[in-house]
Amino acid sequence: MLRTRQLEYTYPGNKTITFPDIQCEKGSQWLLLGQSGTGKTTLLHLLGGIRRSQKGKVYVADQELNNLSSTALDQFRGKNIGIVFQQSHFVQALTVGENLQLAQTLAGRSGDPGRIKNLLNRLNIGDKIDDRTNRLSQGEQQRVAIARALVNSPGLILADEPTSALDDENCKEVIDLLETQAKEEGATLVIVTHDSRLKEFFDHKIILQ
Amino acid sequence: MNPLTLSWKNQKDRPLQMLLTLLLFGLGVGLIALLISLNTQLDEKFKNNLAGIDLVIGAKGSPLQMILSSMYHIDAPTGNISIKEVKPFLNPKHPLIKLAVPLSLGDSYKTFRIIGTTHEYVDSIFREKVASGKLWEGLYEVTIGANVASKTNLKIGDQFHSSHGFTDDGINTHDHGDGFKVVGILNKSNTVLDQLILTNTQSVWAVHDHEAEEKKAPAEATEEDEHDQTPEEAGHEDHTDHDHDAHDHADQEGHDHADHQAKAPIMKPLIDYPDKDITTLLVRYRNKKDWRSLNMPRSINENTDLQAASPAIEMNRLYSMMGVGTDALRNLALIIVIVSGLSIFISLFSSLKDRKYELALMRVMGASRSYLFFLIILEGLLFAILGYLLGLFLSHSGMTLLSGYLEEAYQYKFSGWRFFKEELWLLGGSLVIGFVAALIPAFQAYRTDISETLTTY
Repeated sequence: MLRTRQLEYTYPGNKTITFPDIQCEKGSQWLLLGQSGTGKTTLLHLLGGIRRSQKGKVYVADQELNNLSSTALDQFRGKNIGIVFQQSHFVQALTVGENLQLAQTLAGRSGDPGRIKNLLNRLNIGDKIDDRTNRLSQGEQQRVAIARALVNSPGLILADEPTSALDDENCKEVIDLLETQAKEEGATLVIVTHDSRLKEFFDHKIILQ
Repeated sequence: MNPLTLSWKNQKDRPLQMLLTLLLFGLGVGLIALLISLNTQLDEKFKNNLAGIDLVIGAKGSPLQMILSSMYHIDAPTGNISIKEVKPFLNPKHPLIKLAVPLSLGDSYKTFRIIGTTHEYVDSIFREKVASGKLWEGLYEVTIGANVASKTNLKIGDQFHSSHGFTDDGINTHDHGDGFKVVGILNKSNTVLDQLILTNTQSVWAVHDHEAEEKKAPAEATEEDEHDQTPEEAGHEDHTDHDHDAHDHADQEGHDHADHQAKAPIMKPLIDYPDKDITTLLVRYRNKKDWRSLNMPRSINENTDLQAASPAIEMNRLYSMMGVGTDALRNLALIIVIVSGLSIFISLFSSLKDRKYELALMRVMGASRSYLFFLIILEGLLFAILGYLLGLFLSHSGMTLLSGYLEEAYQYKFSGWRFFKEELWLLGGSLVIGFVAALIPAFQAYRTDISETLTTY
């Protein structure tokens, strides 16, 4: 599902980071662990097609991302990759339901209200569908962010530091949520974090140095 | 979720900013639309009421004032001229003049002017007909314009007393003598005719001679029965040689008004009253291009105590004078529109700063660069269209409010809900401004670096 080969990224100040090769099977769940400055976020952006690498290759569902034009990459990302960011941001002017609907249209799909309702119910925030996102608690916002990453049934779900701001109890809950939802969708899950509490939950780990 | 809905929701999310921008844009567009409407309708009024009149002859004074008072019925007349003086022009065999229509001004009813004239004023100058009833025949019979009928609720058979002058202050009412009687209502013509009460010249004289008589001998006037003191009679005391049916009135003492007017006299041609006055003469040439016609006004102005003026020339003069004012207003409106364009730009630009992360997020969710560009342009156009609609609403409702006042001042009905093709141009202009204002913000959105934005914010 997700593969990298000899991936390298050179920052504007000429600092270069070389990443280990990754190979994740469909439906597997991975932890990418690394301290600050090891290029975690950069790697996540490279895997998600948000940033292009100067050297090496990223394959998502057998598609080499660097081969895609800018617009094609945008479309590909929308359809095949769901990303949960460290901080939950939304389109402020829209409600929870509308934000998910926007994710569907931007990925080139027609709006599917049934899917949205279903997903929100599964995440226990079905009653928030018509709320504005800034009215939600942090935990609820994170659930909406997860729902948004899942709404187009992507093959790959990337999560950037989903637990860094959470206490142990909530940390476990969020990881459970991500794991079960990814499993239910049959999606590959890759969590990028420096949070070593997560080590115990995952069999597949890649340590960045 | 289509881009238009998204644009709308984005703007609706900042209601105050949107309101301010829209108001500014609406004011600019509204002012321009109002000027278009006013200019076009004034222009039409000017053209409709020109009615093929080549020359106006009246008393010496301001030529513009004479034109305004006798063609548009706005200003006060310059004075009176005696029939003796204009006799040659009234001759139907005049080599240059095809038509000469006398006008006598002086009285009004509820601010509508009463004009003493001949049937030619309706038939030949405005080419109009009565909608109901007939044109005036006898003394004190009037035919009223369509707007007069609708505003005053006068109907055929109704009687009313006129007021002296053109204001309706309730003081100068001729509450003596016989009232005017409505015998017909004219078709609506969208000319000044709609605002006039027409009668024969003799009726206008009669009212005023009566008044003069009353002032001269108030004791006599009160002693005598009202019917004895008929204006007609009073007016023609000096011309007892005239065989005039008005004398019948004396015999009809005690009869009611309707009866009295039913036997109204047949009017003689004006030429038979050389000592009487009229206010102006509206003249149509036989041949406009005849050099003798072209020389006529100058010859009248230089060789007689009369004044002759061409309506077309005087109105053009007025237009060029007013033009300075409308130009200033138009420039002001343009400045407002440009500032509002600037405010669209600022509004989009500043909202873009707040929404930078949102835009990056939308890219992550699959939106392309051009989609974001398009989205911001759409927001600019949305402002322009909403502002344009607001402006049109403002201008048309403003025109409706103004029309009441304008109708009183200009004796012409202005419509607030007429639309002009210039307003389509205005829409085009608005869209261009909206587009240009959104261009830089849209380009910024286009260039958003997702990765950088997502890590920085």
